[in-house]
Amino acid sequence: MADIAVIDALQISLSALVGSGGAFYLLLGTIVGLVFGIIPGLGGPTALALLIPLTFGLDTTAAMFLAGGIMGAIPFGGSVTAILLNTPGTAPNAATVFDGYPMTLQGRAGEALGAAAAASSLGGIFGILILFATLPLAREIILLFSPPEFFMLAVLGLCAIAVSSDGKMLKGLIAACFGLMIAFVGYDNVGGGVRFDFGFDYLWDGIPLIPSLIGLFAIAQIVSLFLAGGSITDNPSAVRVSRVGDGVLAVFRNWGTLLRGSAIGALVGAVPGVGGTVAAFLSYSVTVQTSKEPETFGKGNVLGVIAPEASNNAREGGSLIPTLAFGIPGSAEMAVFLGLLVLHGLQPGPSLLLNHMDVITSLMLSIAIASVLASVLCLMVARKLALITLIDVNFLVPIILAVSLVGAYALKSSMYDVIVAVVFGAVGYLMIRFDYPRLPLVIALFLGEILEVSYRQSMMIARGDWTVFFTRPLSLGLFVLIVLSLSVPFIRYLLRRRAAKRAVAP
Amino acid sequence: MARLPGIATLVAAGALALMPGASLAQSWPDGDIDLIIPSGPGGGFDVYGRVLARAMEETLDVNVLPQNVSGGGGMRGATVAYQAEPDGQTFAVFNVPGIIEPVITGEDVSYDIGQIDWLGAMAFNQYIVMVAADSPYNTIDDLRAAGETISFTAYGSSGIAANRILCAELELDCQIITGYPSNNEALLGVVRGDAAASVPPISTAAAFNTGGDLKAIMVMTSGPTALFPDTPTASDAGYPAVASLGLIRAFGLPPGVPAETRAAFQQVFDTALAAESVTAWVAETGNAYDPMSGEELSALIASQTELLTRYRDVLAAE
Repeated sequence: MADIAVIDALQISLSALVGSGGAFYLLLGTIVGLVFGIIPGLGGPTALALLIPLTFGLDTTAAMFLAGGIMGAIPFGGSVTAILLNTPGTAPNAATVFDGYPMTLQGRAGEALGAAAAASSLGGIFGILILFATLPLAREIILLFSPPEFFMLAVLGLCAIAVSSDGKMLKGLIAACFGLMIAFVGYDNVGGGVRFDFGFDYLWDGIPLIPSLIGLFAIAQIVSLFLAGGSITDNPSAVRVSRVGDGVLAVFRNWGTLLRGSAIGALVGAVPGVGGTVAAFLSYSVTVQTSKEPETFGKGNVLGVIAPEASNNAREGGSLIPTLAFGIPGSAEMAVFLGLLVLHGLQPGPSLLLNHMDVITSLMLSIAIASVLASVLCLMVARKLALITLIDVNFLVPIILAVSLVGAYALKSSMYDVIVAVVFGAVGYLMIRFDYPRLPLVIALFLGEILEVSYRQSMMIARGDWTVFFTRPLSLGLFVLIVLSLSVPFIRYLLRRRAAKRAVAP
Repeated sequence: MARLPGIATLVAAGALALMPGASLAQSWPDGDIDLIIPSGPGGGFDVYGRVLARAMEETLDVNVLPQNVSGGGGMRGATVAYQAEPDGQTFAVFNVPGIIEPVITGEDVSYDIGQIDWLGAMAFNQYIVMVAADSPYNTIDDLRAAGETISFTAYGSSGIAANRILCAELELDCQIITGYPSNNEALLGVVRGDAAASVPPISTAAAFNTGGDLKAIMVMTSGPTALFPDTPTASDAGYPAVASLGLIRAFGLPPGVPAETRAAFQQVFDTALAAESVTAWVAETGNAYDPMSGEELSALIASQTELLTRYRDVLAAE
């Protein structure tokens, strides 16, 4: 990697940003990204897909500023509804609801938003720095991960179910199994047949993730809020004394959590086919498991907001690594972004680094700036946003319901997606009613396909020899992490019992 | 400064849009035209579809709106397109041979390929056999002489079918590893050692291989190719049949579009197929570009169907 080329390219990007209208496109992208992130259902892939035709008339650098603005702003936008309404705006924000929403219930919405904003901006910057630092090693890192490692990463992600079940292990496992069953509907990428379509051609492409999420979270949540009545938070006096600053400070006081979250986000984001949602869950569960007070998570611990949000923004940098090294998308956004590059006459892959370094630096620069800009824009209105939680839910219900259903429809202009959202709304409400955790279902739904495909690929590569999972060093290492992550709660329990005994003994 | 050409193109497009409108059938187009794309945004069919949609908008005063209908390896998009109102307001990109294979293997499909009203095709992506740069295999004969099962990484129903037919033609004992989300990832699988070889489209292989991680051992064409001029062709190696395999970026209308509307549509399509914006895009990206008429496309589909039918048992095997 010629560092001089990078610096030259950065100079070109900076002058484009300041001189020829780049800042305008960046701001526009950031605002679009925020709005698309906040509305459940609309996320990065949708925003970028809608953007593709609009960029025909723009030059490539301007298109990069627009796309980078969107990619940088989406993750934070998605956390706003996760925190305030228990509804992740985009899939990777699902981990933020664990602690973000309990904080809102306690009237600490401002603090949660502040923490999310600071964690997002710093995470975004770290992600880009990690990208710069690892670029020379990008090829080696990517070649380390083969199907056996993907499988182990997916299992590690599934371990987050243990964390998200919160004492309801059996119900959590039932929800997870349901999620896995749904994940297997549709075209089987390995065998080539269509499964569980029940005669509906709509199901050939599987049960779509985003409409399911809209149903499970937005619709189910709003139905249950409506039935409960009142407002979201019971503690109006606490909301008025907004504590946005406390949240921002909490991030600076917990550097370790922030750095770990960013590193997990950037690294897992770089593994093609695994992506940001797994990263956010991993970042969350690692934070819980290494914490001295794991029992405080899920009940409004601010670290539970910082960890996934830092990871979410850092992953944008990470998912660029496979794109640059091999022309392979590291996330769903990146897949659409590749289409945008091709339309602009750029071939994704290593030649991009050699011939169009300025395009890359423009994108990195705009992702980093947009991460910060989105947070600042949102913090300016955070106090007002937090007041949403004081509104009588009777006024919120029609608005959220309408926005959610429109979001489900807008994704592919498909009425069937709306039906899926409604069906999952009913499922989600029943889960709330009978006290089943919903996140295990979501985690399983995300990971089902990666888990299945990478398992079957590993078996094909090894010609049926299952030891392949343990003979590859990285795969074995991930397996050890899985064992550790599952045994930490037991070890902790045993240690505590011994300590209690000792306290009683004398 | 750099945005000026964009404005110029817009102005030119606006001027063009005003001219031919009057000479076309009065009733067509009646509002925006839908283009059904049988895959998600960002893939090859999507990109070709969008490039053509943009070129058609240069001569039309309505929008051409791409709609992604993914699922079932292109079958769902084909079904939706086939059942669309035949009024010239909907046309589609078809995944050929993705839509032929289920017919041959006896799956229940709700379209009749013989009835699709073909407009033409933008590209015919033929295949190439790639191995890792440090592979002991340098020729097809090396693969055959290896005396062991050769593993391949493969992507998509058409890629898998091409891989199986290649193995049958070469009488190779193959193991095909499937489940990769794209051709690039199947090629990455070869680089990191998941398998010995892969059979990607030629332009994909060329774009991926700028880093020199792979080497080509046979292009599955009858004549030499610009991207891999020194690699032996299928005809050189003695397997000419595999040259009719390839992904066709085909465009068609649902059956039953009235003749007058159809003629007007064809005129706009043909103009767009040769448009400067299309050729400029091809020159910039190096994507395959083999414009063909509806008749040429029908003939190519017939020869593919014949080859696929011959290997029906190989394709149906799982």
